[in-house]
Amino acid sequence: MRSRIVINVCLSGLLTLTSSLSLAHIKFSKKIPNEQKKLMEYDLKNLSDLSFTDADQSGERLFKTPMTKDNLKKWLFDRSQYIVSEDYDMSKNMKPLQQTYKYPNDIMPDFEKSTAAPVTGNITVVMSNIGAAAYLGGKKAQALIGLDIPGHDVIPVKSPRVGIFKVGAGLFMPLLRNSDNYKTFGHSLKRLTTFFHEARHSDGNAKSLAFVHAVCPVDHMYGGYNACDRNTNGPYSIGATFLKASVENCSKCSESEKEALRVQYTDSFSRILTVARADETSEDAIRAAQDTLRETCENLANLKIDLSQFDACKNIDQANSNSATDLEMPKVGDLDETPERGED
Amino acid sequence: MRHYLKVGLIFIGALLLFTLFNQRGDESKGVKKKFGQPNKIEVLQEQEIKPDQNINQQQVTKPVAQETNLILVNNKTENFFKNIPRISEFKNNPLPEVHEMPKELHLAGQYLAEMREFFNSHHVKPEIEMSFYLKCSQNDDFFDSIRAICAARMSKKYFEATGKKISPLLFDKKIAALKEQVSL
Repeated sequence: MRSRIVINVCLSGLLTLTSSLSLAHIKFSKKIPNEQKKLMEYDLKNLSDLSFTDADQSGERLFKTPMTKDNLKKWLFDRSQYIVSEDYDMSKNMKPLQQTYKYPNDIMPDFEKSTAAPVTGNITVVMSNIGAAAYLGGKKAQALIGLDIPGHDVIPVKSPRVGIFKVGAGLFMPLLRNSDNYKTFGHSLKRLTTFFHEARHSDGNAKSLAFVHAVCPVDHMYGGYNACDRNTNGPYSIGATFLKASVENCSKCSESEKEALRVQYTDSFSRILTVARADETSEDAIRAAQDTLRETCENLANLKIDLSQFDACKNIDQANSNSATDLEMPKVGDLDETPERGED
Repeated sequence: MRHYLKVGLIFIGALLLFTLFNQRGDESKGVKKKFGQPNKIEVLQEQEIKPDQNINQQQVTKPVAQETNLILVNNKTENFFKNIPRISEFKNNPLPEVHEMPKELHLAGQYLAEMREFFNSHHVKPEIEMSFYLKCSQNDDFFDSIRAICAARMSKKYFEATGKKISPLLFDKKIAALKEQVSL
């Protein structure tokens, strides 16, 4: 059961300590490869070099604080405590601390069952929030469990905020084909985004506990997999918003790095399930949209763009205005992010 | 030996001059060859342009340089459309981990990034870029995020060229919605 939960929760998260904010909190397992540890320390250092504009208001809504490097650092460190290595076996390191333990409620989040083909082959570990998974396991069993972190103590898991992340080689994949320099600022942003995503799994209570992912609908690219969010403040929203703001304000990133990072955050946005507005569209609106399309097609033709293969310009009168601009982000909205905690 | 070399050089020089004059003549008559045709991405012979195959850039005049550039552009874009990983490839493989970006999309993003770098460094005509990004945005076997970024770039280029907003109806609904999340 425990291992199933690990998969369901999906999990992933981060880091270390170059500022006073982090030094006291984040600890690495002694089994973390030194090279990985150095890169993560480097990423945290770069977190201090980020800058954001006042325009990043969606970030303020998500992080509940203006997006500044100090606020983001605090947000991340509040949810991250320990980093363990890829070969960390949670079931072997799970220690029962109390046979019975009082949790604030007995409500579990809805684990949507994946309908995709079972996982086969080697799994490349990127990052997973095993602290949240352990909390879910303990809550299900109504027992207090602890995780033994090599080089540290057995950590009692009394809240999803325990912040224990497993990090694997997948986190350190190259951003660009022709780049083997993992220490560029772009690489740091890529890795930090995963940390932020995973850190969100440290939040929530009852139904929102651990912000578990939803199954993507069948017509989605990741149809059948637990790889989407139905809410607007889950891990994919956090990661995408952080990365989008970081990329647009990144003076140290190359143009190609920025483009590759855009793919990453756009992919995350695509996993936030959208719903189409069901409102009736007036005839005037349809006509106006068709006029705009007609104008676009004429202008493109004047620019000598070959439109022969694009149906949109061939069937303008059939075009319906109920499209892009009428699509909205999910109606589920934001979930309660307050982390729950068992008795002390 | 020297004589043959001299004759050879004269012959090459004459050939180059003939090519240039012929091209200018065509242009002056309004026959622009490939340049004036609709800017669709033409399928050219798949060939890698190696540096030593290029005409010496310092010796050629502008029209030849432009044509070389067009061949380069065509090769680059054709390579992109031929090789960029597709959704169908990704769905044919069991997915070990979809929580993060699948490796196929990761690679597709690298292809897109290389195109961005190429367009930036080669000062390609906006119409050619638009054709490329429009085509990229329409391929339903490309990953949504790739298509959305292409749609966003297409929209930006269109606005720069016309001063007007592009119709979202030009794109698939989900792509048009997703492109709104892309900041360029």
